[in-house]
Amino acid sequence: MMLLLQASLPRITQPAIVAIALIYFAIVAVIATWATRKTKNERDFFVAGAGVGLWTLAIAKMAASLSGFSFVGGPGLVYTIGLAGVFIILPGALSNALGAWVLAKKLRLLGEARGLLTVPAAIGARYRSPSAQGLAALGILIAVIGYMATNLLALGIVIEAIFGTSLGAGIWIGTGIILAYSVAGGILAGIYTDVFQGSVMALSSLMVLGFALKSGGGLTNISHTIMAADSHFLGPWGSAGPITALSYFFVFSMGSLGQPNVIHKFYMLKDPRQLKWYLLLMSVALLTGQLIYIAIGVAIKALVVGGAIAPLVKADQATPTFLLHFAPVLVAGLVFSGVAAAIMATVNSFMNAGAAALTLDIPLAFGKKLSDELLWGRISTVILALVAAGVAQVSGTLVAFLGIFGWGMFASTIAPALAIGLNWNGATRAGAIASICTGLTLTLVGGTLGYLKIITLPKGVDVASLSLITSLLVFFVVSWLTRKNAAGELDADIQLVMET
Amino acid sequence: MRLLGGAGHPRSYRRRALTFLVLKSIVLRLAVFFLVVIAAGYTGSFFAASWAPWCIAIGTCGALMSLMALGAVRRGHMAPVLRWVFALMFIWCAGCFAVALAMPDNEGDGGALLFGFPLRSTIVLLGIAVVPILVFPIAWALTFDSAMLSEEDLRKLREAQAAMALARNSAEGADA
Repeated sequence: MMLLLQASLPRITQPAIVAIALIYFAIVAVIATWATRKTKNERDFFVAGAGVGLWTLAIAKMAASLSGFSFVGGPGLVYTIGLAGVFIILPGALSNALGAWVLAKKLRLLGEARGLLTVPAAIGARYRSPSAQGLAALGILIAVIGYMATNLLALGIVIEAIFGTSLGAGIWIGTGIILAYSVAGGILAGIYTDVFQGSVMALSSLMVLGFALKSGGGLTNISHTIMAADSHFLGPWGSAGPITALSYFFVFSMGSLGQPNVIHKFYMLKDPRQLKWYLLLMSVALLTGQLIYIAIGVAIKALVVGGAIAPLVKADQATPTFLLHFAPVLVAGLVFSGVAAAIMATVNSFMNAGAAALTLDIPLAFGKKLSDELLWGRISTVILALVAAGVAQVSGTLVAFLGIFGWGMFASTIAPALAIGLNWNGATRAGAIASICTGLTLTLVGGTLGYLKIITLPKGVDVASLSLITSLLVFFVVSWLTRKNAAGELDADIQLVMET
Repeated sequence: MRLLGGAGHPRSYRRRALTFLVLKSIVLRLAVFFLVVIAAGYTGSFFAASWAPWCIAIGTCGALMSLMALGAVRRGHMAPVLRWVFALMFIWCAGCFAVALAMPDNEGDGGALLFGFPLRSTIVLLGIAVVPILVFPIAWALTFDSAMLSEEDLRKLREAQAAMALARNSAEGADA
């Protein structure tokens, strides 16, 4: 589902693009250095000292939500399967609203009440269960490595294309840059670099929309050109069919409730009353950042079927091909920096989520608490980054498989226990543990069997969708069966937050 | 819970608590119902059933709105405007999907366009992207103070939590 930069990009080593990329990396370094000096303790490292303003939160959440997939893999997917590929980003308005009503206020207040630093800690507090916390952290840890590996490979490919390095060198250079500020400044450095990176992404996305419309002679002309050549591409389900499109819609709307790199940021908001304008800002930010996704995918299809350019050898070449042929070199440089920005922002958030799981949540599940959590947080960040970069370098097609089940595992292990549990007094510890185990098992086993082609699912149905719907239903059924335990598993201060 | 509604007014408390339970119960049942509909859709997809996409589309819209409503139920109450917003947005989103699923394919040469895009696709884009991005942020902001978190709510919560922490510390001190 989340195929990301599987092909190598064409070489784009041009002085202007290299200069813009260097300026971009220099600005990231300056922001990171500034933020690193402010990182004094584990609270700064894991939740930015819970002192972030609304604008910062919204832009950083947007940056963390959009990976390199939105800039390169996504347009390539739209070029391949038409509008069905858009259903990955289309539920953004709905999933933002869902997150606001279901999680935003409750996570923020719970974080304040208990001094929480991680998403699994909220599950642990809700059900008074270190086991549930540990299992959720395990799911995050497994998924984080896969997702990071996918994104580090993508970053390596971008660096290879811009600077003319080898792919391996690109992966390790990219890993080193992110690691430098993630280890030193944790999420505090990450969130302020995210603001810059998110701004670059939004600006480049807006500019590309204009050039995409211009390249095809306006939206109506683009539509006519494509419809004359391919009668399915611009249909609501593209050429992949309704089940594929609607499965994307289901997984990427409901599953957004389980993305730790995004929902974790609610802890960081300084004043919970600022949430009043959160949804508006977040929706605008996300919409702006996503314009490039559909604009390039559709424009490049029109250009290919209209004979302006040759058919693409690989779908992931849609963005670089478009930029190199139909946008000024400065815009191309900005967008390539935007791609790097999107990947770096996502990887930083995942590094922090994984380090938190290793340092805080998993030891707690075994009844232990590490003595110097800031130091161990930094060590865990290095270990995770090295493992993920190693996987990215040696795994070949496996990296795509890891990326595919990463998103699904977050969704199926976190969303039911956390999002529904914080809004329903009747949810039980047994229900939470059963749903987390279901999500873990189905995603791992189903994903592996699918990857090895031992099982084949109907067209459009994927393991992530089946895991998510099953874990949601298991959560309700087991909670209902064990409902007599519900009241006794809810601490008074947690109940107070749930009822506020 | 004092925040649940007037500890000094038992009748009011019971009435509100009952409303709270009833409203939550209805919303929860709706959420479970729509999740079962989605599951039925996926089951149907194994048999290439023609109704499978309908189930996934309508079930997902229903589950999303039910869960939003679940998050919006608070102290035995959901702002009336939000009840309308969630109900109408369900009808709107599910309706747009239904129209797109029911209409015949017409995205070939000479097919009808709306706002520069094929008709069915524009309906879906309006249904699940454009209109929600206009409606939900406004509904959220307009009801935030009264139905989500006011200054007073926050002050009361922090006072109650401070009192709980004090009681907990006293109990631990006594045990020690």
